[in-house]
Amino acid sequence: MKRRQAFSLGNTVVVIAVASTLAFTVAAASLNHLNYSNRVSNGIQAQNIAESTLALVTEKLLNEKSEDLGKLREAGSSFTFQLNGGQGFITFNPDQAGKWELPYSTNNLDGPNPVPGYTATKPIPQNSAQLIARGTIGGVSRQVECILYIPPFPYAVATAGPFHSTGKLVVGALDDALPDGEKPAPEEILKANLASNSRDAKALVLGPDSRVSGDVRSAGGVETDETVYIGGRIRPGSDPVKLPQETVTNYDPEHFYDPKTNSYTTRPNLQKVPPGLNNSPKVSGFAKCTGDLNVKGGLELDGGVLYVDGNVIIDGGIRGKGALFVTRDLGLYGSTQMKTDNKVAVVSGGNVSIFGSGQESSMFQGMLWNKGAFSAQHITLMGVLIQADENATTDINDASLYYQSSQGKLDMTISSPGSVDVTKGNIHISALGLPITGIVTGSAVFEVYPTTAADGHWEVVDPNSRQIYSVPNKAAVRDKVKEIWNGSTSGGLVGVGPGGSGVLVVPLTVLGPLFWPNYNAELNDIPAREPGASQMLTPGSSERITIDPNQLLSRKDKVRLLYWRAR
Amino acid sequence: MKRRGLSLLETVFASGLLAGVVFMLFNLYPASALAVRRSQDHLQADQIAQTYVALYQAEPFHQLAQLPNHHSWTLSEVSVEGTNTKFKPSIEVLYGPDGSDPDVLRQLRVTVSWDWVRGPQSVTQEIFLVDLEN
Repeated sequence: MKRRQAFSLGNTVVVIAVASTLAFTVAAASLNHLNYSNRVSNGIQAQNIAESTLALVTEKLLNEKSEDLGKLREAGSSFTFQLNGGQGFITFNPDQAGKWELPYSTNNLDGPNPVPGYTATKPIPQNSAQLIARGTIGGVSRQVECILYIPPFPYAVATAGPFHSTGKLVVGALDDALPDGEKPAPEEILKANLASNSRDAKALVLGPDSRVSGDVRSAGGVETDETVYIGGRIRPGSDPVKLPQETVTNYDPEHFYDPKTNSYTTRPNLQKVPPGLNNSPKVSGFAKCTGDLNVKGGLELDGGVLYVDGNVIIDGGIRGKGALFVTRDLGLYGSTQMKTDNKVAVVSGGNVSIFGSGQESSMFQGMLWNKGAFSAQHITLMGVLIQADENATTDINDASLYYQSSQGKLDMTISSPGSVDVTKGNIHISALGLPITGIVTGSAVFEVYPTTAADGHWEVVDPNSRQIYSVPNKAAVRDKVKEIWNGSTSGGLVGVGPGGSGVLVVPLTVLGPLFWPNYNAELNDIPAREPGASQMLTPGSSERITIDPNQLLSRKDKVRLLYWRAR
Repeated sequence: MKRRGLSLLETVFASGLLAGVVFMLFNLYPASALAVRRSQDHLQADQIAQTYVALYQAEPFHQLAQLPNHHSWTLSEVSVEGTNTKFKPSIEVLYGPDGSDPDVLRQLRVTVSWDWVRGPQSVTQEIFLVDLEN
């Protein structure tokens, strides 16, 4: 009896203990579950907040008005965002980053070189931004890091309309300029892409023996045969690629937009090129031709920008460095030999036809953009080709198109001649030593001009020493010029082109005999200037001209996500 | 005699204690089960919401960019195997903060609601999406 009573109580206590343990285990399990689900939920939310913070700052970076965001790493370049009960943090300022115990972000989107990021071992590449954001909610934090990148224009050839090649097309990329008359070895040809935004079934037709080293992408169909080699992927039915859009008339030097005055104005000392036939013109600075232009002997751009409001036919190719804007059609026949310093940007509002004599002997170096049909035959194009008219076709026959990012954009400084008209008078000396009588000239300028002074004296500027000499009259100019030329210690006369751009040495011994018989003609019709108004000494302001297919795209159209990490 | 009384008292005490514990357990188990179930549903709803967030992150941005501000729609109910809960997801697309470009930045709000014994429940997830489609 005693034993049964004791057993009954003990049994009860044991049962209660077991049941209580179970109860607490269940309660603890459910609490753990709740805690776990809360942490998981907060983790998801924190991740979303961190990603949202990146998105909000990325939108600011893509906004052209705040593209300098964070570059100065100032105190104001830190941001917090409230979202869904949590908070997101991001900063470009190292001090604030230290306070938040968060790595700082770096904006190098416009930078031409890599810069250090938050760790010395991890530099941020050029044209990139490293963004690091943290999201925090309910005691849970997540950090997200990304690198945004603005690549060079990614296509060797991009057309809005159909692209047809009859055969022997080569599309590739080259690291270095192509030596004159040489074809690149197959192993030197790097990957370059070809794209057409046409939705036609025959949007992209590659004829026999064509070679494309990279991707072939089309919004419509792609037609090839078994002799065609494509190194990358064939992507028919793809989304259209973003093509740079431009309005040629925006480049009219007579009606250009001046952001300083927020108005349209004419570029100072704009040179006028007469329409019609021109022999071997050389353009420096800004020039405009109103009407059709027919060029024989090739066009030379010596840091020049030629705007033609009409059609242009050029026989002999384009050489030098500069830009040609044509509102209507352009025909380019013959072409230049390969030279590393040749770089031309052609922007045409109409059709463009380029005809060379062979891929090895004819070359165009630079960027071609046109809003019309495009055709090229027997030529090598080095740079970038963009055809922006969806209703026009690009026809290529026996041509090589080599992508070179350095050739595909033009970046040059043009010196503005200031207020002095240098298109008349002075002694313009061509490379052959002959005075140039045309209006568009760009060779050395031996600066001579009458003054408005009461005594009517003339001034002669030594192009070597840049010293102004005063001579009593026009007849005395010749002796002073001879004296300066004979006294030069550099073996010749160093001349500058109109506007102070370009340098040319003209040796007296070789060129003098050719020069003197003609120089008097150069001294006619020179406008009188204020005494001391030497163009050489006060060449006026210089302007940087950049024509880059990438710049014609907005940041949001070209930025890419290079790297993404969440932790 | 004294031992018998003690035995009765002991029995009564033990029975009472047992009854109390059993009563507590009967209440605790369902409460715990409900809490676990609720947290399961909550977790499930979070996962569904995150799935839709991921879905719209993967979609072409221009599909969101063409929607007006505060555009919302309700999606079909989602059932998860092993539970009777019906989740009702809805999506709302909003513009970003003032001054932001709606062609580049949009806010996505995913709300998943479901019925619970103690009333309707919901979770909301919000995220800003930026156009990086190049």
